[in-house]
Amino acid sequence: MPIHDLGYRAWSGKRTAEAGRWSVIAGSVISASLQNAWVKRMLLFAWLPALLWGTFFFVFELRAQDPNDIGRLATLSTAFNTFLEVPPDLITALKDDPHGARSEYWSYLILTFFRTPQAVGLAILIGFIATPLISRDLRSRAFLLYFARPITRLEYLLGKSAGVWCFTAAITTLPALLLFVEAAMLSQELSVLQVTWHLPFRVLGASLVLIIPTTMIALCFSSMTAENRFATFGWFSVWIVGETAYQILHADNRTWPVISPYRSLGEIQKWIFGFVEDAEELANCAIFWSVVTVLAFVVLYRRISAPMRV
Amino acid sequence: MDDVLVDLRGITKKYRRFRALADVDLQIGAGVTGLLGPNGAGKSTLIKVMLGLVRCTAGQGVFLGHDIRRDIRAIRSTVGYMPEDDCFIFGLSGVEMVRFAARLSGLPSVEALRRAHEILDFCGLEQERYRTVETYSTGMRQKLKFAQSIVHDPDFVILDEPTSGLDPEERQALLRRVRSLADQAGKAILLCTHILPDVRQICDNVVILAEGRVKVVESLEVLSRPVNPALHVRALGDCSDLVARLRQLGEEVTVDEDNVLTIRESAAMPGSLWSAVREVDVTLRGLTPSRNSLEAVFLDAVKGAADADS
Repeated sequence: MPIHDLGYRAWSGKRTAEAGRWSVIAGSVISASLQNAWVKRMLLFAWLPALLWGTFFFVFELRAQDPNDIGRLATLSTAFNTFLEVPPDLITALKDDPHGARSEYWSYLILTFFRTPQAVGLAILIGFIATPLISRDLRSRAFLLYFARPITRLEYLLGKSAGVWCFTAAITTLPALLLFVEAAMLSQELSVLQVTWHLPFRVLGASLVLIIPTTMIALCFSSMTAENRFATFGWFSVWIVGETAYQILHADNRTWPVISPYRSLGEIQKWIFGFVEDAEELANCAIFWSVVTVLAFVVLYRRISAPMRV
Repeated sequence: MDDVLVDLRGITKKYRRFRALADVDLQIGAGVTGLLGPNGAGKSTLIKVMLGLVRCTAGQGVFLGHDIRRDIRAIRSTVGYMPEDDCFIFGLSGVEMVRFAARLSGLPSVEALRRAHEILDFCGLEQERYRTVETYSTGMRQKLKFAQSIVHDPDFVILDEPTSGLDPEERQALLRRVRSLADQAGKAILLCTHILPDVRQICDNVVILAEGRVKVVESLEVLSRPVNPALHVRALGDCSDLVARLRQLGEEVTVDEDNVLTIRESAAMPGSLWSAVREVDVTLRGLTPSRNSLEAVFLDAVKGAADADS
């Protein structure tokens, strides 16, 4: 027995506000996830594309200051536009009036940033972080620890989701906003904010579209099994099988983006950044993801409630 | 009961057709109350109803002044619960888990850590507190569960099978801690157990539940009082003279095979015993009043429930 043992002592401090208790769960998700070395590596790796996209912004802004330059900068700019598959009408607009097309070009750059590297990085990161979150609690019967305390099931869900959102926002929202800030600073003119003020909001919207449904589905998978490897397998299967099926259909000249999470979320993000190609497809994707997100939430909530009913 | 902390009226809980609790009326006061019952008696369901983990089908109740249907959050803030099952959170050390439990109950971050160490000292979990909980033995897990149930200084503590899996020394230590919580800290404790000696050792009151109904609610002192009071006397050597003399004095005496005399209580007792001992010159080794066996009370209650059902 320790020499300082004084037996049981009462505690009479002031408790924290009940409304913020979910943040304790979110904090535990973050600290537990950061113990995984792979998660740290992925976080670091997920920021590398931001450097490349930062270069795109840099080259664009340099070229915008001297549109008639036909040296290396022009060659580089053309190469980047080809790599990014910039739509021909946007390229024409850039040639005619780079300053006037700035808002649209920035939007396109940030959209491609979201679509190409970050969506893939996010899928991998969520697969590592979110899928064990509830299955482990199921396995260790931790629900009684949570729900015997002043925590509701919604707060539990919010806490788990918020933990995941922090990581996903760290690799999508945060670098996208930093790219915007970098571009604004490179433009060397304050008036640029008058035409691009909407971009941070579009970034937030595109982040929400990406983060909320994917987190719900990953947690839903996690709640369906006490073995987190099955949940992880299910999560990656959805992405890989969906994209493979899309590619097969696409090769057959049939487009059905709903089948692929990557494509269908991309359609909604394109709309957010103002690049709608097919309004009907967009509506299908939006309805599909709304239904899937709600269903995932309902299943998740019921699965969390299930251990209490025994 | 002077100070009623739990007042349940007509609590019924049905799981589809199965009735887990049937019209339970129960009042629990201060001190340590033992909740006894065979497997499937409805003990865990009763605890879950009290904590608001499951909704009762019918009935009403007040727990520490709060309605058990409406004020669930307030109840959970002032109640500590130690579940029977192993439940922990993967990847956390013992001290981290107790701290996490404290934070969920509203203790500020730094204070939660200080309090976690304080409570772990009280519970006798020493250097092991820095190991991850997955590596804990059963005894350590029991201590950890006990610690997390009292870390937020609850007014009422519900302990579900707290001594299961403990060796005799640890069991005694835990029972002493539970008793000290009631005696020194003024906590009300509901001890749910199958181990009758534990109840006899530390409980003030006993509730016996069988087939979802409350069969017995009584203080241990009253339950222990025998229907036919008697004294058990052990004497050195041959005690036939003593038996004969007592019978001459009109006492009803029986002798069992271990040479223990059982003398029925009478108006002349114990005076007639002292005079008989003096006269026949016998040395007494022990003198204990007879007590009603808790096992017998328990079996009677359970058998009564089974008979009523058949």
